[in-house]
Amino acid sequence: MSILQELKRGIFAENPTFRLMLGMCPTLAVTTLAVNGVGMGLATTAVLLGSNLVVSALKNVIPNQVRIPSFIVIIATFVTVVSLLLEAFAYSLYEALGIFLPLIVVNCIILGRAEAYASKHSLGKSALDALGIGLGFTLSLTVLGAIREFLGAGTVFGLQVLSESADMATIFSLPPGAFITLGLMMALINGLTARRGKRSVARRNPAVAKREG
Amino acid sequence: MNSSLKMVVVLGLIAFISAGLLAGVNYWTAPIIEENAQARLNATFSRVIDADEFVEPEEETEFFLRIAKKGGAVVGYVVRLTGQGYSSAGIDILVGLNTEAEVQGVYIFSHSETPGLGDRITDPAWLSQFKGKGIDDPIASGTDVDAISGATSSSTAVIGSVRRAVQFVGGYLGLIEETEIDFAQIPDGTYTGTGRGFGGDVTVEVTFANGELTKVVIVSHNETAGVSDPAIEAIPKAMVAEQKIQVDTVSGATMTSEAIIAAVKDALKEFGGAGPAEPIDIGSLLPGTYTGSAKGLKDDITVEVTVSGGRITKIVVLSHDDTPEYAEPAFAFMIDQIIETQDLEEVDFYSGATFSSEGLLNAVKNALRSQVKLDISGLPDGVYVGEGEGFHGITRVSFRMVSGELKDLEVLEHNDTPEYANKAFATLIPAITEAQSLEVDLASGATFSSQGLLDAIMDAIKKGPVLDVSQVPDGVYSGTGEGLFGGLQVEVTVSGGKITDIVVVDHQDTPEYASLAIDGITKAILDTQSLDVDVVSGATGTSRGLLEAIEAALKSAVQ
Repeated sequence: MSILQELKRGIFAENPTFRLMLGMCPTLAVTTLAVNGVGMGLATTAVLLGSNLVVSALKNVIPNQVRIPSFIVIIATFVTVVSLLLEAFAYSLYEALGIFLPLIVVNCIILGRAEAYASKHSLGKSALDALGIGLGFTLSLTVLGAIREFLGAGTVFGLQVLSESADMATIFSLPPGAFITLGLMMALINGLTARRGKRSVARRNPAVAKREG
Repeated sequence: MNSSLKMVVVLGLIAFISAGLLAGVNYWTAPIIEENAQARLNATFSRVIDADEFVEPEEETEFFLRIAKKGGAVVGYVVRLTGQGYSSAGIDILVGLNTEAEVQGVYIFSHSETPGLGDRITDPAWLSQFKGKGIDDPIASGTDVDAISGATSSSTAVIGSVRRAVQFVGGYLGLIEETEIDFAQIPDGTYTGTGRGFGGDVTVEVTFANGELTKVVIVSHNETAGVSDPAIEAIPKAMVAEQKIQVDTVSGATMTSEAIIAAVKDALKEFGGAGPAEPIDIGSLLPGTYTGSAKGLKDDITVEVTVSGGRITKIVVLSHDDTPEYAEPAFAFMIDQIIETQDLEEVDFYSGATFSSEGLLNAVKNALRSQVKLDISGLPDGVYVGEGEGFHGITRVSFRMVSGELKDLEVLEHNDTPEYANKAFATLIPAITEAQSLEVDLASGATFSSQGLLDAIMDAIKKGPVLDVSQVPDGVYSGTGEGLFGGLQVEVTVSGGKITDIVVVDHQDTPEYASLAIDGITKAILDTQSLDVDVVSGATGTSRGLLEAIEAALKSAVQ
């Protein structure tokens, strides 16, 4: 598989949010604004890249029985590093992500990729997988965030799109709006996929698909 | 390698390397994070005072204090303190003060008050009322600042905190002088007082003989044994030896030392040094006639003040020595003003006769601070209803006054244990009616229920007779009240001694809730022909405002 295909796989066929349905908790919680979606996605990508690389490098060293605790220690380390860096250099993003930043540790995408992919593939492939999945996650969160921000506040990336006096559907900035938007997006994507009939369910990685977070 | 050993070693190594990496990152980012936090804190401090640098004072202070500097020069202070509002979490408040201890700004740092009600304390317009308040201002709700109606508990907590901050900085700057109590004027005897120490209350007994402090005994305390001993030993001795209260504290036992000093001050508080007098709460005064005097331009002005139903109804100048042509218009102006506003704190003086005006005001205040004996026979005729706190809850009573005689005293509602309470009521009610006085013996075994009954009667007397609609002449009367979000105006139609219609002309509250209150209250009043109806839950603010407006309308009819 070429590099481009490897990246596209994470964005489309194995999109963590819309296809694998992983990491729903931060997806629903932080996508009130597009910029939060980008921030959360990039933070997760950074952790994913780090953990995939280390797990792939150590795949022959880590004994099978302690692989899960080892993965978790590695992931937790990267999360803490990212969290400290954000607190030091991007405080407003750090505040916006709030509790969901430390909770990246338990985001099943990361442990899922470590377990299902990085521990079985080479360094290069694992890095590409991390980037692809990470970009897919970032993109999904950004789209969700942008839609919710537009409908809920009339802005996109903080830019006023509709007139400030417009009466916006505040519900989209609130938790119910997250479920509604996500549900509609998923219906749309599934509909489009079914119509094109190109990607079958069988192509999904069943081991990962079952690991719901 | 043994597989279980390998497990331990690999996981251990991973953990070890992770720990090392984290330590490194933390070492690198910690100073940056700290600096950012400081910058944010300073930005918050800048909300309450215009300054660019906030320095920690060298000495330990009672409250969190930062010295605010601008361009290197001290421009003021920031005090951070916690007020106890409605929520148990407390309200974290920042107060900025200038070098004269005058409030520059107040900012609610964090709070957990009820959204929609208590959280109105963060309203900048409300918080701006504190600006300029200083050590000479009472900073008390209803005098120079306003509480928020519907959020009394939360807003009073903020007001109290601002007052504490002002007093604290005033003390810190030495602007408030501790007035030493003049021992010579203290009558011989033993006085008891308490002060708050490290482990709880410290209670002292202070003995005076021939105008000299002869003995200070610490009756009880809960301070740490050993640590506090030097203070407990030395402070009383120093007070007697130096014949003063404000002695040096014992180092290492500062809190205990200060507690003893505070306790002695508390014991002697009636002899002065206690700070400005509390404002008079007119609403809680017993009905009756009060006499008092204060110095006018030349000599004492003596007044007689009549209080009825929690209002000042009449002020008569009994004697004065000021020049009549100046003083008399001033007196008339002041008397009209006080009766009109029912306010003794925010009063305008008659120009050209300030001394006479102030003398009259002080005479009225002195009169109202004096004790008055409750004279039941002097109460106006009418029906009285009041509430007191019994053993388990509210006790409600009603009685009638007919030509100076208390009649038909009955308990409308109580929550006390029936077997005790009923016995208490059965003894007390005839006793009170017989004696026409509240100075009766409490029923033994049911003191709380008895006290509840007496408190309820007292409350009823203070409130004055409830409105008797049958005495209101026919007509349409308008009145105003304070709803949840603003003024509320009603028109009440009375015909044939009955309320026949209530129309809300104007209000500022949320329509869907307000209409609940308006419909409910209106119907209840029209049905019962009484203003003693329950507020509509979910629309309490509007309900109270509406009742206030209707009462005002009917009162205007009677006057």
